[in-house]
Amino acid sequence: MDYENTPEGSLVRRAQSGDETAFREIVERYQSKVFSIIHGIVRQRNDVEDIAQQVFAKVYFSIRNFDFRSSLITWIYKITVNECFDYLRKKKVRKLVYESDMSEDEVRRVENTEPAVDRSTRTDSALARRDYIVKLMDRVSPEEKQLLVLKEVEGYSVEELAGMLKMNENTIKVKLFRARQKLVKAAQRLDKAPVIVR
Amino acid sequence: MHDIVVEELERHFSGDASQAFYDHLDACADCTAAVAAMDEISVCLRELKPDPERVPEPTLGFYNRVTRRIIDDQRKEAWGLFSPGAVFFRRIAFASLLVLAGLGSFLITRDYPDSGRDAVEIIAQHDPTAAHSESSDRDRLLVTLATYRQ
Repeated sequence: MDYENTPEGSLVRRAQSGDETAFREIVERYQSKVFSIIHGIVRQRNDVEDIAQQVFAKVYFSIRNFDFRSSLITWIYKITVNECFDYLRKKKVRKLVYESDMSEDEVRRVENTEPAVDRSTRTDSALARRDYIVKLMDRVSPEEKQLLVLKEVEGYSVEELAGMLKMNENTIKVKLFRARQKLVKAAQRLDKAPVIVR
Repeated sequence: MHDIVVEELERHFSGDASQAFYDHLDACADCTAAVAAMDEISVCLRELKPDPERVPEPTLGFYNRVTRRIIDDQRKEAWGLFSPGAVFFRRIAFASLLVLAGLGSFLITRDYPDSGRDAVEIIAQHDPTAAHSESSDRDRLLVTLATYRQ
Protein backbone atom coordinates (compact mmCIF):
# COMPACT_ATOMS: atom_id res chain seq x y z
CA MET A 1 0.00 0.00 0.00
CA ASP A 2 1.18 3.50 -0.83
CA TYR A 3 2.41 5.28 2.33
CA GLU A 4 0.24 8.28 1.57
CA ASN A 5 -2.84 6.09 1.88
CA THR A 6 -1.86 4.47 5.17
CA PRO A 7 -3.43 5.66 8.47
CA GLU A 8 -0.19 7.51 9.21
CA GLY A 9 -0.28 9.09 5.77
CA SER A 10 -3.73 10.49 6.48
CA LEU A 11 -2.52 11.69 9.89
CA VAL A 12 0.20 13.65 8.11
CA ARG A 13 -2.32 15.02 5.61
CA ARG A 14 -4.42 16.28 8.51
CA ALA A 15 -1.39 17.90 10.14
CA GLN A 16 -0.47 19.47 6.81
CA SER A 17 -3.91 21.05 6.61
CA GLY A 18 -3.40 22.63 10.05
CA ASP A 19 -5.19 20.09 12.26
CA GLU A 20 -3.71 20.66 15.74
CA THR A 21 -4.91 17.30 17.10
CA ALA A 22 -3.10 15.51 14.28
CA PHE A 23 0.10 17.36 15.14
CA ARG A 24 -0.38 16.50 18.80
CA GLU A 25 -0.78 12.84 17.85
CA ILE A 26 2.48 12.98 15.88
CA VAL A 27 4.32 14.51 18.86
CA GLU A 28 2.94 11.96 21.29
CA ARG A 29 3.63 9.07 18.94
CA TYR A 30 7.27 9.94 18.33
CA GLN A 31 8.44 11.91 21.38
CA SER A 32 10.04 8.90 23.09
CA LYS A 33 11.87 7.92 19.93
CA VAL A 34 13.13 11.47 19.44
CA PHE A 35 14.30 11.65 23.07
CA SER A 36 16.17 8.39 22.60
CA ILE A 37 17.93 9.51 19.40
CA ILE A 38 18.92 12.82 20.98
CA HIS A 39 20.25 11.24 24.14
CA GLY A 40 22.29 8.74 22.12
CA ILE A 41 23.99 11.53 20.23
CA VAL A 42 24.37 14.36 22.74
CA ARG A 43 24.46 12.41 26.05
CA GLN A 44 23.28 15.53 27.83
CA ARG A 45 20.24 14.66 29.88
CA ASN A 46 19.50 18.30 30.62
CA ASP A 47 19.43 19.36 27.00
CA VAL A 48 17.42 16.48 25.56
CA GLU A 49 14.03 18.12 26.10
CA ASP A 50 15.20 21.45 24.69
CA ILE A 51 16.47 19.83 21.49
CA ALA A 52 13.31 17.69 21.26
CA GLN A 53 11.16 20.82 21.47
CA GLN A 54 13.22 22.35 18.68
CA VAL A 55 12.81 19.19 16.58
CA PHE A 56 9.01 19.19 16.92
CA ALA A 57 8.83 22.94 16.25
CA LYS A 58 10.71 22.26 13.01
CA VAL A 59 8.36 19.39 12.23
CA TYR A 60 5.41 21.76 12.76
CA PHE A 61 6.84 24.47 10.50
CA SER A 62 7.94 22.18 7.70
CA ILE A 63 5.32 19.43 7.69
CA ARG A 64 3.76 21.04 4.63
CA ASN A 65 6.97 20.20 2.75
CA PHE A 66 6.80 16.53 3.71
CA ASP A 67 6.40 14.74 0.37
CA PHE A 68 5.69 11.14 1.45
CA ARG A 69 8.85 9.86 -0.23
CA SER A 70 9.85 8.28 3.08
CA SER A 71 7.95 7.45 6.23
CA LEU A 72 7.23 10.19 8.75
CA ILE A 73 9.63 8.75 11.33
CA THR A 74 12.46 8.60 8.77
CA TRP A 75 11.85 12.28 8.03
CA ILE A 76 11.67 13.18 11.75
CA TYR A 77 14.82 11.11 12.28
CA LYS A 78 16.70 13.22 9.74
CA ILE A 79 15.57 16.46 11.40
CA THR A 80 16.56 15.09 14.83
CA VAL A 81 20.04 13.95 13.78
CA ASN A 82 20.76 17.32 12.19
CA GLU A 83 19.49 19.23 15.20
CA CYS A 84 21.74 17.16 17.47
CA PHE A 85 24.88 17.78 15.44
CA ASP A 86 24.01 21.47 15.10
CA TYR A 87 23.64 21.63 18.87
CA LEU A 88 26.96 19.88 19.45
CA ARG A 89 28.74 22.08 16.95
CA LYS A 90 27.38 25.20 18.61
CA LYS A 91 28.05 24.02 22.12
CA LYS A 92 31.61 22.84 21.48
CA VAL A 93 31.43 19.32 22.78
CA ARG A 94 34.62 19.56 24.82
CA LYS A 95 32.93 21.93 27.19
CA LEU A 96 30.15 19.49 27.99
CA VAL A 97 30.21 17.92 31.42
CA TYR A 98 30.06 14.22 30.90
CA GLU A 99 28.86 13.50 34.42
CA SER A 100 25.63 15.35 33.77
CA ASP A 101 24.58 12.16 32.02
CA MET A 102 24.65 10.35 35.36
CA SER A 103 22.28 10.63 38.23
CA GLU A 104 23.59 12.16 41.46
CA ASP A 105 23.75 8.70 43.06
CA GLU A 106 25.76 7.37 40.15
CA VAL A 107 28.20 10.26 40.32
CA ARG A 108 28.63 9.70 44.07
CA ARG A 109 29.13 5.96 43.56
CA VAL A 110 31.69 6.50 40.82
CA GLU A 111 33.49 9.06 42.97
CA ASN A 112 33.66 6.67 45.89
CA THR A 113 34.75 3.59 44.01
CA GLU A 114 37.03 4.72 41.23
CA PRO A 115 40.40 6.36 41.61
CA ALA A 116 40.22 9.97 40.47
CA VAL A 117 42.83 9.47 37.75
CA ASP A 118 40.89 6.61 36.10
CA ARG A 119 37.70 8.58 36.24
CA SER A 120 39.13 11.68 34.63
CA THR A 121 40.92 9.63 31.97
CA ARG A 122 37.70 7.87 31.09
CA THR A 123 35.76 11.12 30.97
CA ASP A 124 38.39 12.84 28.84
CA SER A 125 38.48 9.91 26.49
CA ALA A 126 34.70 9.81 26.13
CA LEU A 127 34.58 13.56 25.49
CA ALA A 128 37.44 13.36 23.02
CA ARG A 129 35.66 10.64 21.05
CA ARG A 130 32.41 12.58 20.98
CA ASP A 131 34.24 15.69 19.88
CA TYR A 132 35.93 13.62 17.20
CA ILE A 133 32.63 12.19 15.93
CA VAL A 134 31.08 15.67 15.79
CA LYS A 135 34.02 16.97 13.77
CA LEU A 136 33.81 14.04 11.38
CA MET A 137 30.05 14.28 10.93
CA ASP A 138 30.46 17.94 10.14
CA ARG A 139 32.03 16.90 6.83
CA VAL A 140 29.06 14.95 5.50
CA SER A 141 25.70 16.12 4.20
CA PRO A 142 22.48 15.87 6.24
CA GLU A 143 21.39 12.93 4.08
CA GLU A 144 24.67 11.13 4.66
CA LYS A 145 24.45 11.78 8.40
CA GLN A 146 20.99 10.28 8.43
CA LEU A 147 22.12 7.21 6.49
CA LEU A 148 25.15 6.64 8.69
CA VAL A 149 23.20 6.98 11.91
CA LEU A 150 20.37 4.76 10.68
CA LYS A 151 22.89 2.12 9.65
CA GLU A 152 25.40 2.29 12.50
CA VAL A 153 23.27 3.39 15.42
CA GLU A 154 19.85 2.01 14.62
CA GLY A 155 21.28 -1.05 12.94
CA TYR A 156 19.11 -1.05 9.82
CA SER A 157 20.29 -3.19 6.94
CA VAL A 158 20.84 -1.85 3.43
CA GLU A 159 17.62 -3.60 2.32
CA GLU A 160 15.64 -1.95 5.12
CA LEU A 161 17.14 1.45 4.37
CA ALA A 162 16.27 1.06 0.70
CA GLY A 163 12.66 0.35 1.67
CA MET A 164 12.48 3.19 4.19
CA LEU A 165 14.03 5.81 1.94
CA LYS A 166 12.45 4.53 -1.30
CA MET A 167 15.84 4.11 -2.92
CA ASN A 168 17.57 1.36 -4.81
CA GLU A 169 19.83 -0.89 -2.65
CA ASN A 170 22.84 -0.10 -4.81
CA THR A 171 22.18 3.61 -4.39
CA ILE A 172 22.18 3.13 -0.61
CA LYS A 173 25.45 1.15 -0.77
CA VAL A 174 27.15 3.77 -2.90
CA LYS A 175 25.87 6.66 -0.77
CA LEU A 176 27.06 4.96 2.42
CA PHE A 177 30.39 4.12 0.83
CA ARG A 178 30.93 7.74 -0.23
CA ALA A 179 29.91 8.99 3.21
CA ARG A 180 32.40 6.61 4.83
CA GLN A 181 35.11 7.72 2.44
CA LYS A 182 34.46 11.34 3.41
CA LEU A 183 34.72 10.40 7.07
CA VAL A 184 38.04 8.63 6.48
CA LYS A 185 39.41 11.67 4.65
CA ALA A 186 38.20 13.93 7.46
CA ALA A 187 39.80 11.59 10.01
CA GLN A 188 43.09 11.68 8.15
CA ARG A 189 42.96 15.46 8.34
CA LEU A 190 42.23 15.30 12.04
CA ASP A 191 45.14 12.92 12.57
CA LYS A 192 44.57 9.60 14.22
CA ALA A 193 41.29 8.56 15.81
CA PRO A 194 41.34 8.61 19.59
CA VAL A 195 42.01 5.29 21.25
CA ILE A 196 38.78 3.44 21.84
CA VAL A 197 38.28 2.67 25.52
CA ARG A 198 36.04 -0.29 26.17
CA MET B 1 38.77 1.05 -4.27
CA HIS B 2 37.66 -2.16 -5.95
CA ASP B 3 34.01 -2.92 -6.77
CA ILE B 4 33.80 -5.90 -4.46
CA VAL B 5 34.57 -3.66 -1.49
CA VAL B 6 31.85 -1.15 -2.41
CA GLU B 7 29.45 -4.03 -2.94
CA GLU B 8 30.17 -5.92 0.26
CA LEU B 9 31.30 -3.24 2.68
CA GLU B 10 27.97 -2.86 4.47
CA ARG B 11 27.67 -6.62 4.80
CA HIS B 12 31.15 -6.62 6.30
CA PHE B 13 29.97 -4.14 8.96
CA SER B 14 26.99 -6.38 9.67
CA GLY B 15 29.35 -9.36 9.92
CA ASP B 16 28.19 -11.33 6.92
CA ALA B 17 30.45 -10.41 4.00
CA SER B 18 31.42 -13.19 1.59
CA GLN B 19 34.71 -15.08 1.66
CA ALA B 20 35.55 -13.45 -1.68
CA PHE B 21 35.54 -10.07 0.07
CA TYR B 22 38.09 -11.20 2.66
CA ASP B 23 40.16 -12.97 -0.01
CA HIS B 24 40.29 -9.68 -1.87
CA LEU B 25 41.40 -7.84 1.25
CA ASP B 26 44.19 -10.38 1.74
CA ALA B 27 45.40 -9.60 -1.76
CA CYS B 28 44.88 -5.83 -1.89
CA ALA B 29 46.77 -3.62 0.56
CA ASP B 30 44.96 -0.42 -0.47
CA CYS B 31 41.53 -1.89 0.15
CA THR B 32 42.70 -3.42 3.44
CA ALA B 33 43.91 -0.04 4.66
CA ALA B 34 40.72 1.72 3.57
CA VAL B 35 38.46 -0.88 5.21
CA ALA B 36 40.52 -0.73 8.41
CA ALA B 37 40.08 3.06 8.55
CA MET B 38 36.35 2.67 7.96
CA ASP B 39 36.16 -0.01 10.66
CA GLU B 40 37.70 2.40 13.15
CA ILE B 41 35.17 5.11 12.35
CA SER B 42 32.32 2.62 12.44
CA VAL B 43 33.25 1.77 16.04
CA CYS B 44 33.14 5.48 16.93
CA LEU B 45 29.75 5.91 15.29
CA ARG B 46 28.28 2.99 17.19
CA GLU B 47 28.95 4.88 20.38
CA LEU B 48 26.03 7.10 19.46
CA LYS B 49 23.73 4.18 20.22
CA PRO B 50 21.38 5.25 23.02
CA ASP B 51 21.53 3.42 26.31
CA PRO B 52 17.86 2.53 26.96
CA GLU B 53 18.37 2.64 30.73
CA ARG B 54 19.59 6.22 30.64
CA VAL B 55 17.31 7.77 28.06
CA PRO B 56 15.09 10.35 29.80
CA GLU B 57 11.38 9.99 29.20
CA PRO B 58 9.37 12.99 28.00
CA THR B 59 7.83 14.61 31.05
CA LEU B 60 4.22 15.62 31.49
CA GLY B 61 3.28 18.71 29.52
CA PHE B 62 5.92 18.20 26.83
CA TYR B 63 3.39 18.85 24.07
CA ASN B 64 2.32 22.13 25.74
CA ARG B 65 5.93 23.25 25.92
CA VAL B 66 6.37 22.42 22.24
CA THR B 67 3.32 24.52 21.30
CA ARG B 68 4.59 27.39 23.48
CA ARG B 69 7.88 27.25 21.63
CA ILE B 70 6.09 27.22 18.28
CA ILE B 71 4.12 30.34 19.31
CA ASP B 72 7.36 32.04 20.44
CA ASP B 73 9.04 31.15 17.14
CA GLN B 74 6.07 32.49 15.20
CA ARG B 75 6.22 35.77 17.16
CA LYS B 76 9.93 36.09 16.52
CA GLU B 77 9.35 35.40 12.83
CA ALA B 78 6.56 37.99 12.64
CA TRP B 79 8.74 40.54 14.42
CA GLY B 80 11.59 39.65 12.10
CA LEU B 81 9.52 40.79 9.11
CA PHE B 82 9.34 44.32 10.53
CA SER B 83 12.64 44.35 12.34
CA PRO B 84 15.43 45.59 10.09
CA GLY B 85 18.04 43.52 11.90
CA ALA B 86 21.64 44.18 12.88
CA VAL B 87 22.90 44.71 9.33
CA PHE B 88 20.51 47.61 8.86
CA PHE B 89 21.70 49.30 12.05
CA ARG B 90 25.33 48.76 11.09
CA ARG B 91 24.68 50.43 7.74
CA ILE B 92 22.92 53.35 9.41
CA ALA B 93 25.88 53.80 11.80
CA PHE B 94 28.35 53.66 8.91
CA ALA B 95 26.34 56.19 6.88
CA SER B 96 26.16 58.53 9.90
CA LEU B 97 29.91 58.33 10.34
CA LEU B 98 30.44 59.17 6.67
CA VAL B 99 28.13 62.19 6.93
CA LEU B 100 29.92 63.38 10.09
CA ALA B 101 33.33 62.95 8.48
CA GLY B 102 32.20 64.85 5.35
CA LEU B 103 30.67 67.66 7.38
CA GLY B 104 33.78 67.92 9.58
CA SER B 105 36.17 68.16 6.66
CA PHE B 106 33.91 70.76 5.00
CA LEU B 107 33.94 72.92 8.14
CA ILE B 108 37.71 72.63 8.52
CA THR B 109 38.59 73.47 4.91
CA ARG B 110 35.97 76.19 4.43
CA ASP B 111 37.48 79.67 3.69
CA TYR B 112 35.71 82.25 5.89
CA PRO B 113 35.19 85.70 4.27
CA ASP B 114 36.30 88.70 6.46
CA SER B 115 33.24 89.81 8.25
CA GLY B 116 34.58 93.05 9.82
CA ARG B 117 35.26 96.36 8.23
CA ASP B 118 37.78 96.53 5.48
CA ALA B 119 41.27 97.57 6.71
CA VAL B 120 41.71 100.18 4.01
CA GLU B 121 38.44 101.74 5.11
CA ILE B 122 39.60 101.86 8.72
CA ILE B 123 42.93 103.46 7.77
CA ALA B 124 41.13 106.07 5.72
CA GLN B 125 38.85 106.90 8.61
CA HIS B 126 41.68 107.17 11.05
CA ASP B 127 42.25 110.65 12.39
CA PRO B 128 45.58 110.84 14.29
CA THR B 129 44.73 114.31 15.62
CA ALA B 130 41.56 113.20 17.34
CA ALA B 131 41.52 113.04 21.11
CA HIS B 132 42.26 109.73 22.75
CA SER B 133 39.36 107.74 23.86
CA GLU B 134 38.99 104.12 24.75
CA SER B 135 37.12 103.32 21.57
CA SER B 136 39.50 105.27 19.35
CA ASP B 137 42.45 103.48 20.93
CA ARG B 138 40.84 100.22 20.09
CA ASP B 139 40.33 101.36 16.52
CA ARG B 140 43.93 102.45 16.32
CA LEU B 141 45.09 99.10 17.48
CA LEU B 142 42.93 97.49 14.85
CA VAL B 143 44.36 99.76 12.20
CA THR B 144 47.87 98.83 13.26
CA LEU B 145 47.01 95.17 13.10
CA ALA B 146 45.28 95.56 9.73
CA THR B 147 48.22 97.47 8.32
CA TYR B 148 50.59 94.87 9.60
CA ARG B 149 48.48 92.15 7.97
CA GLN B 150 48.43 93.97 4.63
